[in-house]
Order: sequence, then structure tokens, then C-alpha cells
Amino acid sequence: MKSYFIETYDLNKWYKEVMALNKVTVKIDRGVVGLLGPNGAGKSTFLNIATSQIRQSSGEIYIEGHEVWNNPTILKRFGFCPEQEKLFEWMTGRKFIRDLAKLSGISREEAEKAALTAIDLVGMKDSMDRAISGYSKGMRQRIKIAQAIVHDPDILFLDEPLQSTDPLVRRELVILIQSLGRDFGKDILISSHILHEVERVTSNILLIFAGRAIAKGDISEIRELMDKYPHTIRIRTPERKKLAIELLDYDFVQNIEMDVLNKEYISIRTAEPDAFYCLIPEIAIESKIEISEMTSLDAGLEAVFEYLTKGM
Amino acid sequence: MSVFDKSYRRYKGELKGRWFKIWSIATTTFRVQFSGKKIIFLLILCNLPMIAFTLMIVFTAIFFPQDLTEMLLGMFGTLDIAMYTVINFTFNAGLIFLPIVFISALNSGTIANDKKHNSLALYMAKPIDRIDYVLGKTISVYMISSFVTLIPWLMFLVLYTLLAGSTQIQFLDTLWVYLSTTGSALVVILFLGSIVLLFSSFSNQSVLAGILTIMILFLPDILVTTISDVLDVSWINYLSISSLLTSAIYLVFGKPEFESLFGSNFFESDISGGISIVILLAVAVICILFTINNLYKEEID
Repeated sequence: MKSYFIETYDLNKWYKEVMALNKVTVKIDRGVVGLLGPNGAGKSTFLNIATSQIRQSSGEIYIEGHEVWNNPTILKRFGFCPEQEKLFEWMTGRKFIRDLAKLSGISREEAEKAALTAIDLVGMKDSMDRAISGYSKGMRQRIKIAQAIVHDPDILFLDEPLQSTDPLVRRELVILIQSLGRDFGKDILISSHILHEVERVTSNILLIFAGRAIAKGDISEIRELMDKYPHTIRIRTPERKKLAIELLDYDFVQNIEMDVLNKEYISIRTAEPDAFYCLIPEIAIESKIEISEMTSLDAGLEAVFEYLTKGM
Repeated sequence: MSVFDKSYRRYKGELKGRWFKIWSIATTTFRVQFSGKKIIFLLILCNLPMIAFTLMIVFTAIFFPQDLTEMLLGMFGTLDIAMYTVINFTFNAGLIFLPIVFISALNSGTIANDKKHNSLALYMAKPIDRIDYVLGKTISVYMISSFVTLIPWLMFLVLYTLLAGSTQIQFLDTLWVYLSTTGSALVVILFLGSIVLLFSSFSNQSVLAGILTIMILFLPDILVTTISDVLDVSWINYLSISSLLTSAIYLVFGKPEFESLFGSNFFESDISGGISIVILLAVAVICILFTINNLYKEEID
């Protein structure tokens, strides 16, 4: 019998009166899969149930044919990068990964070595002996990914792993995730509320909206819909004027807005997000502009989901 | 341009089992809870009675003439009497306050802080379940609690034995005192540690958890003192935590006899030590089970 990466049957989750997941029934084939949906759609709840963080209110979920709740046989094959920002703030990055490596079952002697390898992989070697409390959002994302892969799991669950990372790191992380799936045969479920992020990692997606799974399959169709809507990207840089001048040369940049309250932020509205995402790392390198954070506000995605769910 | 190394290397080592992970949770928590200068100060403060006893013995053995030393140390009685007196002094002389404060203050954040900082999600992101998590935390609480019970008590015994020239103590002859002391410490640690762990799982505020623990440990004693003035029955002492602890330890030490000035056995307890031990251990087990239950109910955001 074929075993799917993820199978769910009438999966429900209530938080008191709020229904976070509503009768989700899906069968997802193995490989790299994107879990796409706007904020509050139920992505994190789905991931938390899939990784045995919380238990479903009703329904069934199987990962590679195994039940997950309190099942160490399958749990030890998991690597999970949670969405939450707060980590063990008092620890250094190296200690954090080493201690979590031990919780994954790596022996004391091997944990240090494995931690260094994982830290090296996500480019955090220079900052690994600093306390996590001093890490930027992007660094936290990277250290979270390092803890997820430190024990070489077969199955990876990544909850918004690219959120708040700068363009260069984002590019590298995308390549890393692609490589983990393609070259090392890992099954990966990566959640995001940004279509373009997911698209760069995989074309196989599961769309989730208002707690319901509304579509699954190839990304190209939703892609066309998305392009009808302009896209807003918020960037944090100490040289926002310089960046604005660089961007004004491009036709696909419709509008540039400087944040009045926070002098390091700039919002860019573009009709061609693909071109923009390709361009921004190049601009950063060539013009030597430091970009410390890039977030897609992506209000357009919600509009697309509303369009898709009409008549449901 | 490559920002960092993307060459993923597989981990080829063996993955350890459940108990290794539980031990890792325990040691990580122990390190977090047991760090800082304030902790050392609190530790010294809570062990003050023990330190005073120890210094008194060392001072007597070093500076006093042999016959005077023997006479003074003889006032303690045999080693079991001396050790029992020290423990009894800790739990039946109002000084119960000190170890309880230490155990509560240091352990009240064990689970509460994880809830506050949402660190539970990080633990649960690893291949461990909630029972493993609670067991790891429990071991950590017991380890920390031993710093005001088992460790100073055993150090006192070792010192007493090392000063054999003055105290006339032979290690092999008094091995059972070591065992009794360890047994007594385990009863205390299991009981107090489990209660504080339970309260730590109720709240995400460690201070609140600590205050609740202290209140729940002291209120019964206050209640018993008040009621016993009106109601003259011995079973009421089963409600008093200090009575439960001292009677349990009295039994573990083989009911030592030490005559007071008025001729009665100074240590004799009003309540059965066996029943006290059963009550204390039952409370400890119930607290652990409730803690596990609380953790299973805990929703991770």
C-alpha cells in the first residue's frame, strides 16, 4: 500500500470557539511540499499537529503511514523549525544547538561536532558564541533551521523559515532546502504566506485558508492569479535612500514609501514580484547596501484566496 | 556570491535512546536554574544550620583538648543520634522555612519559565514526549533539592567520620546511618520537589508558583497548631508537614532514643512513621501525575 508523506482525514482543531482547522482531508505525496496560506489560515496549527506539538480535536493524521501523537518511532525522524521567535535567550547559539542536539539523541561527544556542522551550514559560525538575546530575526531563523537539521532527520517541517531573513541569506536558505529535498531525499513541508518564497523551493503546494484545505497540486495556476495583484515588500536597511534611488530605475517598481516612524524601513510596491526578488540580492551586492530584513506584506495573497474560496 | 557553506553533511552517528534525552533535559534545566551569585548566597543561607553544626564540630576537634572534645561531642550521643538531631533540627524547629524557601525559589521556574518563554515548543520540536519532559524536569528539581538535604547531610556524616580520632566513629560500623540519612533525604526531596514541580506547571509566573508552594507547605502546619488547641487528637498531626517529615525520618533512623531532661524520649513522634512515609510518597506521585496531566493539556501556540 502506498504511504503518503502526509495523510489527514477530517482533521479538526478548535481553540475554544475558534476553529483553527476545519475537516482537512488531504493526501500529500513525498517530496518537498509548500504549505501556503495567509496569516491566520491554520498553517502553524497544521504543522503543530503534524509534529505532535498539539493534538487534533478530532480526525486522523498520518506521517509516512504512522500516527504521530506520542509516537517516538516517527518523531525521532522529524526535524522541526517552529515559527516562534523566542529561543533560550541566555544561551549562545552554539550551546543552544548542542543542547538541542542532545535532546535529539546525539551523544555528548558528538553533539558539539554535529552542532558546529549545522551552524556552519546556515552561516552562523561567526556569531555562534554570542548570546541568542543579541541575535537579529534573520539570525534566529537560521539558528532554528540549524537545530532542525542537526540530527539529520528524514522529515523536515519548516514553519515560515524564510521570514525576516535578508535577501542573501534567503537565497542561500532556499538553495539549502532545495538541496535537502533533491539531493538527500528528505520529505519537507515548508509553510509560508508568501507565494514567491514557496515557489522558489517547490512547485508542489497545499493551499490552506480559514482552516480549510482548498487546493493542492502545482503552483502555476495560482501563480497566474497572483500576478494580477501588486505586491508590497518591506525592507530594513540603514541606507534606504540609496536603495530607493537604485530601485527607481526599474519599471516594475510602482511605488516606494519611506516609513515615517522607523527610519530604517522602506516599503516597495511592485507588479512583478518575481523580477523584484531576483533583482534585490544583486542590488545589495553591487551597490554594497546592507539589507538586514525583508518581509512580504503580501496582502494580495488574501485577495487570491478569497477569489478561490468564492462559492465554496 | 555564496554567503555560507551549503554542503550538507549527514550525521552518521548513533542516536541515543529515551533515557539519554531525559537526562539531557535534566542537566540543561539544572544548569539554567542553578546559575548566578544569588543562588550561591541562598544556598549558604539555607545550609546555615548545617554549616554551624559542622563548624562547631571541627572547631571543637581542632582547638579543644582531647578529653574535653570527647565530652562535648559525646553530648550529641551516638552518630545516629547526632545525625537525627541535625535533620530533626532542620524540620522541627521552624528552620523548615529555609530548605523550603530554597527548594521553592530555585525550582518554581522549572516549568513556569518554559511556559512564560514558550520554550515548551522548542522541547516538543525534538523527539521527546511530555512524559519525558516532565521526568527530565523532575530529576532536575530533585538534583537541586539535594543541595539543601542529601549533600550537606552526607558531608556532615563524612566529616564526623573523618574526625574519627575525636569522635570515635568507625565508617563500617555506622554504614547504616549513611543509608538512613540517604533514605531520609530521598523522602524529603521526593515530597518537596514534586510539590514545587506541580505548582510550577500551573502558572507561567515563577514567583507566583514559588509563593503558592510555600503557602501550601506552611498552611497545614499553621492550621494544625490552631486546631490542636481546641481538638486534642494525635491524628491531626498527619496534616502537619513538619510532623509528617520528622515522624518519617524517625522511622527511617530506626526510632533512636534520646532521653530529655524530663526522662521521656526526646524524639518520639505522635504519629506513625510508616503511615507518614506512605502519605508523603503518595503525595509525591500524585503531584508528578498531575504535572504530566497539566503538560498534556498545555496548548502550544
